[in-house]
Amino acid sequence: MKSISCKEAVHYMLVREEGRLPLLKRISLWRHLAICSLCRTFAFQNKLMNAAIKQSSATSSTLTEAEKEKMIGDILNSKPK
Amino acid sequence: MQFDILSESQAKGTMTRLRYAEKEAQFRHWVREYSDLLFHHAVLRGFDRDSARDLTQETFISAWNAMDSFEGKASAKNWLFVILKNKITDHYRKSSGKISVLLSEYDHNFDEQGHWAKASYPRELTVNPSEATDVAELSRILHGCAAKLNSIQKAVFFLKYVDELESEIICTQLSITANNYWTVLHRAKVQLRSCLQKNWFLIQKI
Repeated sequence: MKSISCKEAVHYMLVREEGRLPLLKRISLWRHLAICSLCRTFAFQNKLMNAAIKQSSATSSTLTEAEKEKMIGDILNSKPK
Repeated sequence: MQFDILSESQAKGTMTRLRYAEKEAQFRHWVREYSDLLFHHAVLRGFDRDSARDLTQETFISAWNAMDSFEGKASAKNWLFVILKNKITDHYRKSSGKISVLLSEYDHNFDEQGHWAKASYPRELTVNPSEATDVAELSRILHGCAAKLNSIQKAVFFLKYVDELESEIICTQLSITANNYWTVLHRAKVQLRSCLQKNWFLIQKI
């Protein structure tokens, strides 16, 4: 079986996430991960990132009342197209 | 006869004014009720505060201009979200034109053999995934890093991981090939992880 590079391993991981990595390539990926600690670290942190991105960022994401009223004013006072 | 016609048109005028006032009140209600949700949706997709506010405003401008065609079959909220999502897609699609620039750049994260370049070695982070503060901190840094991706990477990344769309749908929406999709995603992920690592170690030192 063909051994794969780290770059390919990252690609395989991303395809695997979508559940569409064929069996032989899955085996190649396992074999690579078994011997490559850098890619194991990447794989772990990749999963961490996937979970963390869904969390809303801590920065406040609401508009102020003033912004909303300005928005209403701007739109209602502009001439309709 | 003359008098009748006049009063009829006067009545019509009053009706129009009443309906306009009603429409205006409805619109004010929509902005007050839904602008935060729309704004938040845009912020979660990598738009900074100003761009997210602009997108929200553009959504309401379109909604106001098309309000007469809104029949209330769908909920107002869903209708507004459809408008916003179309605006975001338009925004993304404009950015996919620049994909050739990204793809022509050499990927410095790997050497010629496809091995990690030394500067890009993934290092272990002292993150505890079951620790809420760690996850929150990670999420904060990650959003900051994602904001620095170029627009096509951002588009692919958010459509995939936040909107959770199938890759075929993303390719269609952005008019890119499957090969380009994988390359963009690959680079985005490697770049994000590097940025995360750099910033994580930065805060650990403080």
